[in-house]
Amino acid sequence: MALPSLYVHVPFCVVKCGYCDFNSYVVDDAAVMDRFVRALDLELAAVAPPSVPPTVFVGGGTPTYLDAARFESFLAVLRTHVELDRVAEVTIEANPESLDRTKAQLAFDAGFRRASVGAQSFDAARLRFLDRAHDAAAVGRAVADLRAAGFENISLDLMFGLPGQTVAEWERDLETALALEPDHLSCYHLTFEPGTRLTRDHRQGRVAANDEDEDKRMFLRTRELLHARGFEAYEVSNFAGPGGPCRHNDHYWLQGDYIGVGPGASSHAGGWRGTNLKAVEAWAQAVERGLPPTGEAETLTRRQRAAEAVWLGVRRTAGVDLVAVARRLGVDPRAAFEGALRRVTAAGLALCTGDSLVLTEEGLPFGDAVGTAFLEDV
Amino acid sequence: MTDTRLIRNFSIVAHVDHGKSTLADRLLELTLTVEKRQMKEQLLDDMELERERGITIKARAVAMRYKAADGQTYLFNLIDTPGHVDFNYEVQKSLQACEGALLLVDASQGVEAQTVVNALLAEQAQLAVVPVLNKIDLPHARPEQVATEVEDALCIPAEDAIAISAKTGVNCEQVLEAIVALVPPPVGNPDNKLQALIFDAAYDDYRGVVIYMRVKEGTIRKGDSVRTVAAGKAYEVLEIGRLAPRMVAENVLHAGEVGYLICNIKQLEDVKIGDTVTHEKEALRAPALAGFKDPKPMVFCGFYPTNTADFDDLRKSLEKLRINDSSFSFEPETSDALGFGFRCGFLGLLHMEVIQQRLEREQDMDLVQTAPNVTYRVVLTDGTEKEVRSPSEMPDPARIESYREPIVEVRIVVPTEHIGAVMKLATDRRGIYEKTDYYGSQRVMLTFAMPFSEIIFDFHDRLKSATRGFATMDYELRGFEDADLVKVRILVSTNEVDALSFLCHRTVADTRGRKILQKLRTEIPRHLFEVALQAAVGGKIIARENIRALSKNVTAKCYGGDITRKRKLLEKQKKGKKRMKQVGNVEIPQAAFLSVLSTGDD
Repeated sequence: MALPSLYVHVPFCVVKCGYCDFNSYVVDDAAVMDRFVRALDLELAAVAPPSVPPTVFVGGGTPTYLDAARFESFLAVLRTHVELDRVAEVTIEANPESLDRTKAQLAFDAGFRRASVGAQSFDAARLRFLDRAHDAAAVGRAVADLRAAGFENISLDLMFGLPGQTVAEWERDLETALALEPDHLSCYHLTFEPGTRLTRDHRQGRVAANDEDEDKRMFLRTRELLHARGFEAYEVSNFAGPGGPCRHNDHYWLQGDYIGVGPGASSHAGGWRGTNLKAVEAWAQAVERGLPPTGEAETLTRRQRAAEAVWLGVRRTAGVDLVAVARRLGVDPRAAFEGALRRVTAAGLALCTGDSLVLTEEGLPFGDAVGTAFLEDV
Repeated sequence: MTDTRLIRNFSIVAHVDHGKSTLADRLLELTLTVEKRQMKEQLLDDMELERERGITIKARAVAMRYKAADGQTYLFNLIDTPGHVDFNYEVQKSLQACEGALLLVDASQGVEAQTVVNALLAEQAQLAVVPVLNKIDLPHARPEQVATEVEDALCIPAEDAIAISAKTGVNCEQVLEAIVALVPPPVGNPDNKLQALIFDAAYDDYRGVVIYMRVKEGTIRKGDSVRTVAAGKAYEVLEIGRLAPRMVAENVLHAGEVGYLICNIKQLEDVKIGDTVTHEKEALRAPALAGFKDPKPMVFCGFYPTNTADFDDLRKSLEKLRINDSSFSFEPETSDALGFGFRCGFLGLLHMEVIQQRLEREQDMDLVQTAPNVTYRVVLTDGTEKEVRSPSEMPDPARIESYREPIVEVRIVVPTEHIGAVMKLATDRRGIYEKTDYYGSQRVMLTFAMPFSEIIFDFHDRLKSATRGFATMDYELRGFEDADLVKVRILVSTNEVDALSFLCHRTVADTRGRKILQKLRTEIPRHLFEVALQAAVGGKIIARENIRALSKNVTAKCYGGDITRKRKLLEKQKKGKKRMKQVGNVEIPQAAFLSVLSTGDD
């Protein structure tokens, strides 16, 4: 049985970005952060992750929002539960406004070897629109700090499809990002997530969505341009450069098991998926009382898992290995979802090559339509 | 036998929500017919739906004994009437069973359209009308003004009005005394040939059909052989009796009395409201009482099960509903878009709505309901006339000489400041203004002749919003007139969706066709390809809309914490899909069909 990966959620940010629907809070109270670090220690002790998980990912929120002293104690807590030095991939998310040379060094010395920097855009107006707390230059400084600390695998997060954005403008952003010589890129199409300020503005007519056809061109152009520059699209939004793919994320799309700790973090174990209480206070209280901080949980049937495996799997360029799914879950998608399989292949959206179902060039932008064909057949 | 001089047969007529059922309850309580604690609130409305909607659909009757101030004990028969325009014929029959009517008017709302219509019906039936102003306990009650409105509208002296609160019971005793004093006792001779008016009927699982009747002339006894004149059927009287309010068997009922009749009738449709019961023996037969009609459905729509496998269940459900409501009709119908369903006919719009809700609620059916239409008539080139109840029944245009459409007389009561809005709305809907009646200085009743098809869309809703809710309306069928009609077909990606095609006046075909396409455009989800929507008259395209192809459909971010939520989002979309119908390669959600029903000026 494969060991679960570990995800650690740090739910603090200097500002809540308008597009963001992650579990994050603007907190300026040292006591809350201290309590967070202490409770994290307790939760890790309670869930007891393997001392050497396949991968570790620290995300947020903004992990680097913690001030240097607390950041250091946070890292120390992690190290008491996990032997970071022996883990194959250890990633930390960093935001330009709060990362500095000291924190970069602390992270590297603690065992982190991969960093994911939230750049989003290199245009001052776009950054303002997105509520980002940094300017374009800060991204470069952050990358330099990480490099100086010893990081050899740096990823940048970028966003496209911003209102009014054109392919030409997006290409400039991509070029600026490439000039920083990242080892990996994540390029996300701006999504109007339910419950966000951006979505509210959109619904009330204050923010218009970008032209869809232009968005689609950006989506396709990204793959083309990055391919030419040695970055392989291995997933819908992710591109592997010299640093290779993000193994931790790949694990999600392959339906691997993982343990999530921290407020709102999700865990997955063989079809059971639970999500921690989202509010820091509620989560900390549960943990302090020795109770599981799970807020919501679901258990999927094997058939549901098989459908989900296809939905998640087709996101990967390599496609979904149907034989492996059948072996792992005891439900062969080729038989169980014969109709869905026929529909998506007949529509030219996906293709069976050997044991795998792979999106076609045409089907690439319609991954969810393919996935839904299976999900609705459960 | 009760001395007929001590019998009072009466109805309560009122606009909806003016407190008819509350007053009935109060009268039952005051006459000790029903004890307060035994009373389900509002005893006369016994169907859940009726109570919820505040309307009484089926009439019932109840007998009460009242010891009056004169020392005599009177037998009161309260005959309840349906409170809506769709059931005007049934109201007429109920009134025909009475000698008097309490005209109940809300003392704050004042005279409304149905108040006028009901009062006119009571006058036509030559009843003694006793005006009663209700809800005087409300702070904004204005009984004096409303009494003047009643006088202006109905020529009933204002000083005759009794001001009461049915809710608190204030002055309700006076109503009972007024019934004794003002409602005349029934006339009719028990020795004459039997003529009993059927004013209602209901189906009882154990006893079959229960007829509610008023003996107008003659005497009926248990064991008699009787026949229904219009339906021409013979029966043996198994049981007769009074309603007190539960059925109490009697051996005999005489002229002037109201009661029930059970004679082993298996199907409600065998009994016609307004029919006359007389004796079977040739020598004892009396002619039918005047005014019998067999009301015909005027509004039609299709009901289709969302799940085609439910067709038989739908048939059973419709049959079950028809047991207690023979005024709606249904027959199987096939639609390319919707599969197998039924074409159903109703007395009016409210009737349609009630049946639909009953199907969904009581029978737990998931239905697609097609746009309603009225009955049209087409005059064919060979001179014959054909009724068209559905666009699919429309003959080949080459064989059509001309069209005729039903015209209704619409009466709208409204505060004077909204006259302009009502005029505009009515004339926009091809209404022809006829007259204005003034009720006091602030309210008027406007009368229009309008094509019935123009009010079955959303006229009532639009009227309400144009007048901030103040207008009330009523309508009555007047006849058929020549009209320039066309059949508008709706095409989705070149496939005709017959369920969406409709008949309408030529002048509004473009606008209505375009509006339907616009609704469809927002209701049909985007597909992976472009979907063309077209409206056509004959071979000519009169409107066109496009639904853009989806350009992209894939979650940008999908990591550990996103999976459950995003999957559930996709599953939710799939739930909506369950209610979709496939037309060609386009999936049309039920909401699209329904949205077309409410096509208006929005």
